Amino acid sequence: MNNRVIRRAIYQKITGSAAITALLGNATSVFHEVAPPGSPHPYVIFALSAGSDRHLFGARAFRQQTWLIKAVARTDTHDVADNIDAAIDSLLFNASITLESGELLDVRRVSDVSYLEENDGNQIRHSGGLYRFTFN
Amino acid sequence: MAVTLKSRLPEIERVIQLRVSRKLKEGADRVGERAQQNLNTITGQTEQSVDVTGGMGAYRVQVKARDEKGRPYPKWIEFGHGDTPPHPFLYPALEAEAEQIKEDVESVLERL
Repeated sequence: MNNRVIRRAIYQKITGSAAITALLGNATSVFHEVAPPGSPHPYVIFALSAGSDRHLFGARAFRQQTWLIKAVARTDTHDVADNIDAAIDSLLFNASITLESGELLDVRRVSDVSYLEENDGNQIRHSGGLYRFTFN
Repeated sequence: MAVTLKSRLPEIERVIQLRVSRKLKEGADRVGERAQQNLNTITGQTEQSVDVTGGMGAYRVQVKARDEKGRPYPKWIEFGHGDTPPHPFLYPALEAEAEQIKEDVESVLERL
């Protein structure tokens, strides 16, 4: 399934929020799947986790895609990443998002994501969620 | 002369528990198998650590692998780390099976 429609919508929605970009390393620190080397922390990563079509009466009724959207911060506590995660959650809760094609029917946070990564003695905190987008 | 009216509810409850639990276990096993297929690593070590535990109403599919320092790393694979992008394997497995598990449980309940 093509993930371009939701991928672009997520990017535009997050980078269009001054409340979120003010918390990031810079205003465009929002990356699909992986951050370019040397990107300043904190930043946001988003990536497709799962997707499926739902059919009714022999035709596709709608699509569902679950996206990981997380903040990544090189800090000793989870606070920075958690604050960005909370801002994204507020932004997407019952959000009205215009798609380049089709219509977004619903977006729901379905799971929390939180973990620690250690890299060369640095603690890197990941905090975010899985969001299910329903669209046609 | 007397008649006794006896409720079958306790028996029905026991049958529901057994049959629903069996379907949940089958579903959890399928989620585990899909997760293993999605992983498809070179060593197979992570796949071998996929484990299904539980019983009577709740089953957990867990990936128990740890690195040489004893740190659990499956989250790093599922959600990404450093300059490595996410490689989702467990959540897609659940998503792929969730509807079938729900239908299986509903089918059991409808046949009672």
